[in-house]
This record gives sequence, structure tokens and C-alpha cells, in this order.
Amino acid sequence: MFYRGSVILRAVLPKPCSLVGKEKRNYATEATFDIARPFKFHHFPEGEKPTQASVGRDEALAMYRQMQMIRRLETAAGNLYKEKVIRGFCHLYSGQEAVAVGMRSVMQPQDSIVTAYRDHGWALVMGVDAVGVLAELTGRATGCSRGKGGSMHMYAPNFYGGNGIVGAQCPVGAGIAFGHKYLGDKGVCLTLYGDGAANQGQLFEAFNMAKLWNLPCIFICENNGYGMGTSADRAAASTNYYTRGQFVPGIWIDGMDVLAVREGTKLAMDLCREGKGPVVLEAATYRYSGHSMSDPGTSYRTREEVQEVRATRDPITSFREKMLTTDLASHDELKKIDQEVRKAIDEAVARARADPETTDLYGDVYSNCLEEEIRGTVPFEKHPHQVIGKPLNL
Amino acid sequence: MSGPTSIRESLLAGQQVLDRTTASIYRTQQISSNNEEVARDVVVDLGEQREALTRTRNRLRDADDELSKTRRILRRMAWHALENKILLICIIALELIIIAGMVYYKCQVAVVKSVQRVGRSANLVEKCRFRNFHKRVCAVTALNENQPHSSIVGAFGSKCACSWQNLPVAQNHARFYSSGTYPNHTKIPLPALSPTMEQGSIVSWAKNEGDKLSEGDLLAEIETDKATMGFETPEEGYLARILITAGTKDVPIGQLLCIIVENEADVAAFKDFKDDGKVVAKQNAPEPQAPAAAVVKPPAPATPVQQAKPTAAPSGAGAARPASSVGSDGFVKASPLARKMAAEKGIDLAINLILFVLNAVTSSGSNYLALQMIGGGTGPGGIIRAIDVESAQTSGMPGTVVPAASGIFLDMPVSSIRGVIAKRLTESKQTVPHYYLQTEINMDKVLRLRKEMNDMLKDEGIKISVNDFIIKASALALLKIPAANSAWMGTFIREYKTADISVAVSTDKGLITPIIFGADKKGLATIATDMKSLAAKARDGKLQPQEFQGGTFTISNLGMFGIKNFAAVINPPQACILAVGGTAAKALPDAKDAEKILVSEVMEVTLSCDHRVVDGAVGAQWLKAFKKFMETPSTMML
Repeated sequence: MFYRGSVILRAVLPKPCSLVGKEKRNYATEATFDIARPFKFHHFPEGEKPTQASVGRDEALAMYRQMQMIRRLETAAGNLYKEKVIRGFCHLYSGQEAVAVGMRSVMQPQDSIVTAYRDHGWALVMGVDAVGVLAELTGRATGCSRGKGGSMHMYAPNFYGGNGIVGAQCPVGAGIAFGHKYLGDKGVCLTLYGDGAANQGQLFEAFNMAKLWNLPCIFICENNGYGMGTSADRAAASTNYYTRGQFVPGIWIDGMDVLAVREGTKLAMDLCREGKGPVVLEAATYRYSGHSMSDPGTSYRTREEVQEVRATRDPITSFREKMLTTDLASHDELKKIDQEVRKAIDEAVARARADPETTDLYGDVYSNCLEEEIRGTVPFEKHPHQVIGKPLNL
Repeated sequence: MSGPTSIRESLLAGQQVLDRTTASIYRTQQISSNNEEVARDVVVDLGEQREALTRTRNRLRDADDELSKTRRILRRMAWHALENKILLICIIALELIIIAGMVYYKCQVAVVKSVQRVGRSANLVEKCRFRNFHKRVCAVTALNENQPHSSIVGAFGSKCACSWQNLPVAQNHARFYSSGTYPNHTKIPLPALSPTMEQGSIVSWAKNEGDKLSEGDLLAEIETDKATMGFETPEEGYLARILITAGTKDVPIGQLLCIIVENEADVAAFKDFKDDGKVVAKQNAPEPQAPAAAVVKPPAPATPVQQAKPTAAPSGAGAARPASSVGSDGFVKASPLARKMAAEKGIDLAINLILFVLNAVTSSGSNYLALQMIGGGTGPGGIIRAIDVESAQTSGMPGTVVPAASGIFLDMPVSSIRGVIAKRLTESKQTVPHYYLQTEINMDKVLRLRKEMNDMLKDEGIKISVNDFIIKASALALLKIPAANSAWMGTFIREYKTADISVAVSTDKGLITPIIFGADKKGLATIATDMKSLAAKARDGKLQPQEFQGGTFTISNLGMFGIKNFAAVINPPQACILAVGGTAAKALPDAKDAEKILVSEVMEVTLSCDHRVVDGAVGAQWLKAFKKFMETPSTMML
């Protein structure tokens, strides 16, 4: 939708055959699009800034599949929650898929990421399969944290997890970036936080230290417009989150456009890899569901507003449109992906329901437990401490 | 001389001796009488002593009796103690057996689970299970449609093989692939829209059957325990069937809400779809029986009770089951899962049983379960299984709230009419400043006139009641005092030009007020016939909304119940309501001759007024006018 107009087909091999029509149609292998909502910069070093993004067919299909996977997974999680199969905390990522998928596409193997409690999508793109996420949500032993963590505590290699405390992951992210610098592995740490957490004091402490030591850290504000219970402009004195690093270079990107996210993140990453980090990146996005499951999400905004965003700015639908208009993929192909995703999530839901519940609840609480038993939710309830896994860093 | 003298002297001396002797005899007599008295006293004393002795002996004998009685009681107590001890041992043994049984059952579940896990890796087993699963789905649909299904249907998608493990235990939000006559569809159970929600009420549907559903569309408004929340569509597609209509209250979570299909063309296939009544089972409570054997049976028909009184048997009883679920000791035989489920669903088997025995005559609601329970479960020896609880749970009135029974009370659902009564009258009593005016009305003339009129109208089959006079008189009084014929509209007062009289009619469903429109212009005969037909309609529940909505003044008459007087609650937005008591004979001073007493028929009425509209003087004027019309009914013709 935002790419209307100058669509450049770099290679069309071979030309569509009009005689055979639908049967034997060949598709473009790469397409380039304008970035409809241009980047905004704050103290960003001079240099050439991309105004277009090109994407290969395979990469585009993979991105589409990942985004659909997240969307479907979150829908399934929402349904399971409403059946009371998932209990406790649950924050859904529906609407913000492009941020995770776009950023993941430019991450190198040594790069790392830490985010807040809205972490299901990130767990998925960082290598946890759908069963791992959903089974974690339902507290099963097959969950990615062995059913111990639940919604806010999912981890994977180089994925330092969700964090239950608003904004607490920001100093952690700076620390991980310090690790990259210290080890000299050229890695960058993506530190994500929401527009609500952007007003936290600890974020500015992290900015200060990161800039002081030029840490390779990208502070990413996922601005979905609403904190818990109210809109960003009612909570923040300045909603230009990309400028709020003051002395830290900032960049604003359209978080509903997966390719814009990819290009913007690449720009920030290049800066960090040159040793000129950190960067504050604001991704303007939107969340469709409430803040958490106890928030219907319609008390501080209208249902019409949500539906309008779905109709005009949806990251999946708009990317799909782009792929179709440039012949990167056919309608049937995308439908096939949709069906495969649906099937995979249905299977994962079945597993998440049926798999055995975790028994590791009191396992690995301490690396070296000095007492045999530890207390449960009340002090009178004692449980034997189990040692199951080996600590990775000891 | 000496001779006679000496004789005399000796005589004298003898005389003296005699005197002395006499005196001594007298003394002796006295002494002996004294002695006699003493002896008598002694005898009396002795008698008393004997009596005392006898009493003591009797007392001792009594004490002896009591002692032996006490000994017997003690012996009996010792025996009871022994009995209790034995009973206690029995109970402990029984509990141990139950615990052992539960442990065994838990182990079995674990074994079944592990078998399932093993089965997953073995292809052959999977195939076999796939078939079983299919059979089960067929059984479910067969139950839905009351049609037999047999072979595997070709359209069965390959997804089924993957999701079979999930389906036997629950259909939560599960996608069903085309089986039999039903194409691919998703069953949507009632969601928990708040973490503490247990049941919800469907306020409204935002979509109709056949509408397209896009992601994020509002599907229905559902009232939870906290608030009314929008339920967004969980699946894209088309709404094929709504199973719980708007307005249904207290639906448990998991009950089938609606069905969504992928293709628009499939909507028609669900036109006659009926909920099989299964409350979608909790995922975490798997059926312990072998999956292949768990064929869902339809709700069992109520069965007669052999041991209960003949009146206890409900009409339309089905065939008696071979075994009863209730042992001779009143213990309900049920599987542990059935007990757990029953407890979760609030069906206390034993309580229901007691309730059943108490009530003995009922055939609907939760007592139906008790009937079924006594009739027997489907398990061996009549043991109630989980499946029976499930089917019993939903065999109450479909789509309505089942009265919840709990021991000594019965919770009745609030019908819509009762809900309206509660809401409106609470609002009235809380927001309308009521005040009350009372007066007595001499009914002699009205009663006389009524008798005359009824005699005249006998052939036409019309019978005018006192109430018809009251309606007419009220309507005329309203025209005379129009301020009483008005309504409080918040920012203004509406004064009506016609007198539309609402008359409170009691029905078995609750109070309703049909209206005699333009009662001021109608004759008594018309009012009487109108009232008769309206009351009949009200009792049959056939009143149209326009027949009971509106009205400018209300009359509530409880005279026929022997009520002397009462104060009614104003029917908002009306300003007045007249509460009519009974008519009774009363001795009154004659107006013409103060020394005479006349007996008259007197009726007491109370006018409740909304002080925002009708001030005390206005109400009093109205009552005065009404009294005049009633006491001199001929003025009604003027």
C-alpha cells in the first residue's frame, strides 16, 4: 500500500507467458520498493540513507511465513487463554510482527537480543518452535523453558529472554552489548522496550553508560501507541522516542513495514559495528490486542481505530499486497503458506494441550543450593530442590 | 359410856384409816394413770421408730434398684463404646481402600498417558488410533444428527491424524474436519474474558448467521463477572450458527457458543445443527477409560425409581436400568472422575439425591440428574461414569438457566419479566419520592348500581366488577385533576390528555399491567369486556408490548385477597398509583341523624404519588374527586 508507484522489477526471468496464462506463470526473483514513510534521524552521522529496499523472493516468502506464524501463534495463545488453558500473564504481539521479523533478518549469528514481556514472537524468530512457545505458555515440560517460565520468560541461544519488569531489560541489554565489545566478536545487542518503559529512569542510566563506553547496543523502542491503559501521548512529555537518547543518535522507522524495519536496523547495526554505538531506534507499530489478557484493549481507544489499522497498516496484509503486485509470489503460494502455518500451529496447540505438565518447578532455582528444600508460594510449603541442567556460565 | 365411845373412837380411827387408805389408793391410782400415760408415750415412740425403720428399708431397696439400673446402663454404654470402636476401624479401613483406589487410578492415568506417548512414535499404533478417533468423531456427529455413520469418510483431512490426541478429551476451540454431513468448521466455546470468569451472559451478537468474520471483528458482547466485554472473533471465516442466543444468562465457560466455517457455502449445512449438549470438557481432566471405548451416549431417559414412593416416578419414564446407582445404604456409586466432575460442575450427587427424595415429584432441572442417578449410570453395576455426569449436566432445558439446587434451597433463574419488574420497581422506589394518601369510600351506591346493571346485562353475558367502576372513576378523576395524570420526564413534566389506565394483573410469571386506553371515554360494559380479554391474554402471556407499555395511571387491587389497605410502588414514569383494598361492612354515624348508626360497605384506598410531579394538595384533590365519583356514581355520567 505504501509502495504504490515506482515498483522496479530488476529481473523478470523469463517473461510471463500470456498464452499459458495461470498455469505456467513465472515470478520475479527480486523486487525493490520505496520506503513509503521515510526514516527520521536524530544526531545521526551524515551519509547515504536508503530510500528503497529490495528483497529476494525466497527471503520475502520466509519473512511472510514468519509473520504469519507469529500472528497465528498469538491468536492461538489468545484462544487458549480464554479457555483457561493458559493462566497468568500473557502479552500478545499481534500487529507488531514486522518488528521482530525485519530485525531478525539482518541479525548475524553473534548478535543478541533482549526484550520485555511481549516476547512470544521473538522467541519464535530466535529459533524456538511453535510447540516450545505454546507448551511454555501452558506450563508443559516441552516448553522452551521447561514450562517453568511461562509467557514472560522464554529464552533461546542469543535470546536473553523476556523480562517481567517494565524496562529492566534495558540495563541488561547494555550489559550484553558490553560483553560483545569486551569479547570483540563484532556482535550487536538489540535491546527492546515499549513506549511505556521509555519513561523509566533506568533506561536513561543505560543510555548514559552505553554512550560513555560506545557500546554496540541498539535501544529499540517498540512504540505501539499505548502503554498499559492509556495512550503514549498521555503518558510521555515527548513521544519522539528516537530523540530521547539526547546525545545518542536516533532513528525513526515504520514498524509496520517489515522491509523498512530491516533497512533501518541495518543502518543502526552498521553504526554499532563501526564502534559508533549505541543507537536509539523507534519503531512505530501498533498492537491489536489489549496490553495483556486482562485488558480488553477498547477502553482507551475505539474498536474502529483498531479495525482501521488492521485495514490500512497491517504488516502482513501490506507485505502480502506488495508481493502480489510485484509478482514476487502468487496468491496460491501465499495461501499454501497460510495453510501450512495454520496446520503447524494447530499441531503445536494440540501438543501444548496434551504434553505432560512440568515437574521441574523447583529445579535449578540455585546453581548451588545450600539447603535441600526450598519454599513454595508460602513459607510452610517446602519442596526438594532439583539440579537438572548445568549452568552455562559457570 | 366408854363402850360406845371407844367404839366410836375405833370407828373414827377406822374411818381415818379408811380415809388414809382411800387417799393412798387415790395416789396409787394417780401414779398408775401417770405410768399408763408414760407407757402410751413409749408405745407411740416405738411406733414412730418402726415407721422410720420401714422408710429406711424402703429407701435402701430403692437405692438398690437404682444401683442395678445404673449397672445396666453402664453395661450398655460399654457395649456402645465397643460398637463405635469397631465402626471407627471400619471407616479407617474404608478410607484406606479409597486412598489406595485413588492412587491406583492415578497410576492408571499415567500408564494410559505413557501408552499414548509410545503410540505416537509407532506408526502402526497411530493408524489404529486414528481409526478409533474417527469412529469417535462419527459417534459424536451421529449423536448430533441422530443418523448412523459407519465408514471412514474420504474427505477426512490428514490433519486429523495429528490432532487425534487432542480430540478425545476436549473439543475446546477445536477445528473439525468434514465428517458426515458437516463440512470443516470450528466450534467456538464461551471464552473466559476475565481470569476469574466462570460463567457469562450473552448481551448481544454483533454478527448474524452467515456474516463474514474478519480478524478483530466484534463477534458478541459478553457480560463477565466484572464487566460487559466485546468478544473478538477468534477465527476468520463465516459465522455458520449461533447456538446461544443473545440474552441468555449465566452460561458456563466452555459451552458451545457458535460455529465458524471457512467457506461461505458451508454456512447452510449448519442450519439445523444442534449442540450435542457437551459442555466442552476441561483439558486437564482426561477420561480414564480406554479411548476407543469412550463412545458418547445420549442423555439417558429418566428412569422410574423402584424403591421410592409411586408418586416419585416421573411421567414418560424410560426402560429401567438393570442396576441402581444408589446402594441400600444411600451411597451413590460413581467413578472418581464422575465425582470430581460433578463437584466441579456443582452437582453434588448426594445432595441431589436427598433433594430428590424430599421433593419426589419433578422431572426437570437439576433434579433430573438425581432421577438419572437413581436410575443408574452407564458403568458396570450402575456406576455413574463421567459421561453420565456430562450428559446429565446438560439435559436440562436447552438454552435456559437450569435452577441450581443445593440442599435446603433452590435457586431459580430470573425470568425476563421478573428482571424487568425488579429493575423498574427498584428504580422507582429508589429514585421516586413517594408519599401516600389514604381515604375511605362508601360503596353502598356503587354496589347497588352494579347489581342493577349486572341484572340488566345478564343476557348479554357481561358482568361489571367493582374494579371496572374504579377504573372509570379514576379516569374521570384524572380528567378533572390533570396534574395527577402526568409523568416526570427528567427535564420536563408531561401532562396527558387521555386517561390510559394500567391495571396490575398477577400472572404466574409475575406482575404485568395491561392498559385500558381512553378509559374516560369508555362505558363500563366496554371496560369490563376489555379488562376480561386483557387479563386472559396476560395470564396466557400473549400480551403485545403496546398493550402493556404506556399508560398514564395505575390501579392495583388486592381487595379480593382480603387486604384491608396497602401502599403500592409507583410505576414509572407515571406519577400516581392507586392501591385498592377490600370492601367491608362498617358502622358509621348517619349523616342526617348523629344519634343513629348506619352500616355501610366501606372500601379503603391509598394513592401513592410522585412528589416531583404531584404535590400533596393535588393528590388530595384527586382523591376527593375519585371519592365523589365512587360515592355518587351517577355523577360519572355528568
